[in-house]
Amino acid sequence: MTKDEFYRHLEQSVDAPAGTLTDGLPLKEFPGWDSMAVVEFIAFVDEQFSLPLEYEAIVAAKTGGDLAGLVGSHLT
Amino acid sequence: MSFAGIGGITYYLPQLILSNDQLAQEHPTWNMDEVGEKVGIVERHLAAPEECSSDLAVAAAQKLFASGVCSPDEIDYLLFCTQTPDYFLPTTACVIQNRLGIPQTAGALDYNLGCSGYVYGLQLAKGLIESGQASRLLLLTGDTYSKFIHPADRSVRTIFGDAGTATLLNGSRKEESIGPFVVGTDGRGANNLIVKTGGMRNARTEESAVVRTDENGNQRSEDSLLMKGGEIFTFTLSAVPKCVNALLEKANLKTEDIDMFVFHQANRHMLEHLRRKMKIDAAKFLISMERIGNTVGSTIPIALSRAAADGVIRSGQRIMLVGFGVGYSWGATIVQWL
Repeated sequence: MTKDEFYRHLEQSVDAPAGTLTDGLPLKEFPGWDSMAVVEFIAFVDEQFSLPLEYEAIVAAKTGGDLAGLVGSHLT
Repeated sequence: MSFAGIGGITYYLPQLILSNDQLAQEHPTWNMDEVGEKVGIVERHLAAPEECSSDLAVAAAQKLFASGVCSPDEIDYLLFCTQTPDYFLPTTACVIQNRLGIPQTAGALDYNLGCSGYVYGLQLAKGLIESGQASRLLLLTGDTYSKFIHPADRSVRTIFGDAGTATLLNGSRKEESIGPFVVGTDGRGANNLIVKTGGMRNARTEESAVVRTDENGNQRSEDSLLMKGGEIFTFTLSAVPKCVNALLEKANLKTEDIDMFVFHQANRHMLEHLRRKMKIDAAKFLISMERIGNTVGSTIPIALSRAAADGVIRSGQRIMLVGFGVGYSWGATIVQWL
């Protein structure tokens, strides 16, 4: 999965227009980035990459780039 | 030797209903459509202010006795699974023994477990029956989590409901019909689903009653139920597939040998993800919480009772039960349906 595809999926999850999520944009700009979105993110990463994420690491993420960093080498 | 088997299951839901529409009116900023679609719950039943866990369990047991499967005087052991007992002491099971007219020669005890509690109850019941210490055991569950929930905490108010259930376990089977079991515990998760005050560790004080707002806008005090949903989800993704696989291995079975999977009815999103992750056919995976909610230790027996009434599960079928949650605690077993 490319980073763009990763971001497009996240945008759908937080109900944001396509192309709005970038490396540096703060997640707090997205009202849809709530506790449900975090759970969906955990499920998405588990399903796509079989990658167990620490909950604390996700809530500590401030930007889209931070979230992409959690997935690391799984993004092309 | 005679083996333990399930002789009947009944449940009771309190009359008060809290719908998504009511919650949307009360909290216009809560996206209750999302709760209905993703969490899979549109109504939950709540105990009345004067209604306690014993009342829910007694009502369920009275339905069981009224069904004719047995009478109170035939019960020789009573197990009551609850995390919301009527009192610190006495044991609520003793109060229930008296109310139901169960003989004074019967053993009776409470045990404190949540979402794994029904599976643990079956394990204890099997041990008592198959070691010859009981022959007709009444396994009750009952909880009133709603009494712990702050009304402005979306993370738990939209999910939990109150209920009681009753299961009769007979020692009259010629062949083994319950088991094997796989259980597990990880107390590192204790703080992720907890009511911090009210026990001996932390007293309830003016300070503990102060209501604070968390980063998601949910309000609660230290006296209220706290659930860190993301942490719980991460735990289930790690523990549940391992537990299911360990049970299949222990039973020398494959996924396709199981006729129906009945997991703790936590929420639909979590269950659907676990189902896909474990490659379980949707037709063999019960989801039964839409108009009931997550009733903690009661979800599995309620789902079984409803599925049996609807003809979804039938006599002789092999059913896997999987409970997981608060503790953390988990357990799974296989039952041959009555």
